[in-house]
Amino acid sequence: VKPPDRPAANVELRIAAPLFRQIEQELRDGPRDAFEGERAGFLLCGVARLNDRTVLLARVWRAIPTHKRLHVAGYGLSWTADHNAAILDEADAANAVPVLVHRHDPRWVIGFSHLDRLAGDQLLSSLSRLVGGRIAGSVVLNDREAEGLFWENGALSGGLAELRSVGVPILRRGRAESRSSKVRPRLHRQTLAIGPEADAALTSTCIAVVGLSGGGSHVVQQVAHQGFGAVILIDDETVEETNRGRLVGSLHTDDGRLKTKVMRRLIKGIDPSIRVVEVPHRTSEPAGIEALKQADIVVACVDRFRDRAQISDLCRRYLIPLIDVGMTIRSDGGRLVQATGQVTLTLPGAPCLRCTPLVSDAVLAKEEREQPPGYDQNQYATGAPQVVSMNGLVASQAANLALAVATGYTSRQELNEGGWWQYDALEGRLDFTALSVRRPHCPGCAQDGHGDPVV
Amino acid sequence: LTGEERAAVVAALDTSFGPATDVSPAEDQPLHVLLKALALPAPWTRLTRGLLRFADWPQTRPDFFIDHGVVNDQGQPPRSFSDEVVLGASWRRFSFAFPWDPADPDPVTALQMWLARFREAT
Repeated sequence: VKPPDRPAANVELRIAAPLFRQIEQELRDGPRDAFEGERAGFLLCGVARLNDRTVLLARVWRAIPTHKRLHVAGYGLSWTADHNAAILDEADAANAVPVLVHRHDPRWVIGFSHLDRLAGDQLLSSLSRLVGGRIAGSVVLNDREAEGLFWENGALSGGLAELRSVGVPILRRGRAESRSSKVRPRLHRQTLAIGPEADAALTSTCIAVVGLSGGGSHVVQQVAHQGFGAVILIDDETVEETNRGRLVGSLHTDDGRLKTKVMRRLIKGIDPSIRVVEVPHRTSEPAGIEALKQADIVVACVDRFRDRAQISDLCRRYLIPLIDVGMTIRSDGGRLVQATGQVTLTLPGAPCLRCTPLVSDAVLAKEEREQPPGYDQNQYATGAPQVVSMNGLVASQAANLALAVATGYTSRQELNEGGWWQYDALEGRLDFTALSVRRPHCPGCAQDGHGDPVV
Repeated sequence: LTGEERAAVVAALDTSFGPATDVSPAEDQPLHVLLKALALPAPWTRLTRGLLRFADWPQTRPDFFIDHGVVNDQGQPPRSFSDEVVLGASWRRFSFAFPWDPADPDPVTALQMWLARFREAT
C-alpha cells in the first residue's frame, strides 16, 4: 500500500527545557525491560491555535512503564491496550491531547519506520476520535532532528513543523533541510561576537514588547538592531508631550500618534525587512491576548503589577519565556531618594513571575485597593517619576536576555532557572539573583502549558 | 475548600442561576465557577457568561466577571470596569461595594449582591 503523502508541516510541539531534558534522558537511558527494546511515552499537551500553526504545549510526560510492555515479534516496543485507556482518561480529565514520543538511533535517517506507521497510525487515529474533536499525534526524534504526524477526528491532519525546547536558548528541531544559514551584512559586528548561527536564530524569532514608553521603546530599538525577524508591538496609548522625555524614537510632531505607529517607524527605519505587527490594545483585551500568544519571547515593560501577573500567566499557558522590566523612582522635593529597577527572566518549567516577591499576592492586593477596577478611567490618575537613561540601563539588560534566549550566546547555567537582576541607579550596581524556588500552589505555574482557554 | 465543599458551591449556583461548571485550573487552586447564561436586568444585554473566582473564600467575597459584550441600549458598557485575563481569556470586572459577612458565606447571596450592580443604568 502506498503511504499517504507527507501532510503539511503545520504543528509545533513545544516543551519546557527541563521536561525535554528529562524526556531525552529517559528515552536514551531509561529503565530497560527484559526485551531490551525501544522506549517511548505519552506527552499530554494543551493546544494553542496560532495564525500560522497549531502548537501543542507539553504539560505532563508519562513514560510507558516496563510492566505495561509486551513482546511482539518485529516491534521494538509494544504495550497493553489498558495503558492507552489510562492515558486517554488522564487526557480527558485535563482537557489535554496525547502525543506519543519515541526515539530512533541518531545514525538513522529521521522518520517513522514502516512498523511505526502500521501500528501508530491505527492507534493515533483511534485516539484522535476518542478525545472528541481534539488532536492526537506521534513524534519520533533523535539527537538533532524530529518528525511527527497528527490526527484529528480520525484523519491525518498535519505534520511536525518543529519540536521546540524552550529554555536558554530556544532549541528547534525539525527536518535538517529546513534550516536557514542566512547571514545579514548589517549584523557583521554582532556575528563576529556571537557567531553566524545567531543570525538565523534571530531571523526566525518573533518578539513581543508590551508597553512602549520609557522601558519598552528602548527595548524595541535594540531588538530591531539585534536582528529579530518579527516584532509585535502592544500598547493602546498615544504619545503625549510629557512622554517625549523618555520615549526613544519619538519626535516633537508625534503628539497624539499611537505609540505603536511611532515604534513601527523606528523599526522600519533600522531594517525594512523586519515584520512588524501593531496591536493598539492592552494585553487584557482579546486582541492583546491573541497577539501575545503568537510571540516566541515576550518583554513586558508595564507599570502595574496586575498587568505583570496577567502577562506572566499568559506566558505560562503558552510556554513563552518572559522578560519583565520595571523601574521605581522616588524623589523628595525634586531630590532622588530611590532609583531602583529590576529585570526578571522567567522560563517555562522554572519559577514564574508570581513565584517571586515582586508580584506576590500581597503586592497585588495592595494595588487592587489603591487602583480598583475603573481606576484607569480616572482622568486624575498621575504617572510615576521616570528618567530615560536609567530606564535605558534596565532595558539594555532585557535586550541582552532576549538575545540570550534567542541565540544562546551565553551558557551561564543559572539562566536555565531564570533570574532576577536588580539595578540601583544611585549606587551604580546591577546584581543577579537566581530564581530557584517555585512557590507552592502558585496560580501562575498551575496554568503551565494549558494553552487556549477551554471556557 | 475540600472537594465536597467545591461541589456544593457549584451545585448551589447551578440550582439558582442555571448551568454552572467548575473550571478551576487545578485542584490546589481557587475554585472558579463558570455560569453559562446569566440573566442581567435591563438596560443591559440580557444574557452573559459569568465567572466567579473564590480566591479567599469565605473571608472575602468571590470576584465576579462577565463577558465583554455586555452593553446598554447605547452600546456603552457598565462604568468603572477593568479588563482582566482569567484562565487565559479576557473578562470584564467592576468596582462595586457591598457588605460581606464571612461568618455567613453563601455563594448564591454573593452572586445576587454582585448582580445588584447591574440595576444601575450606567
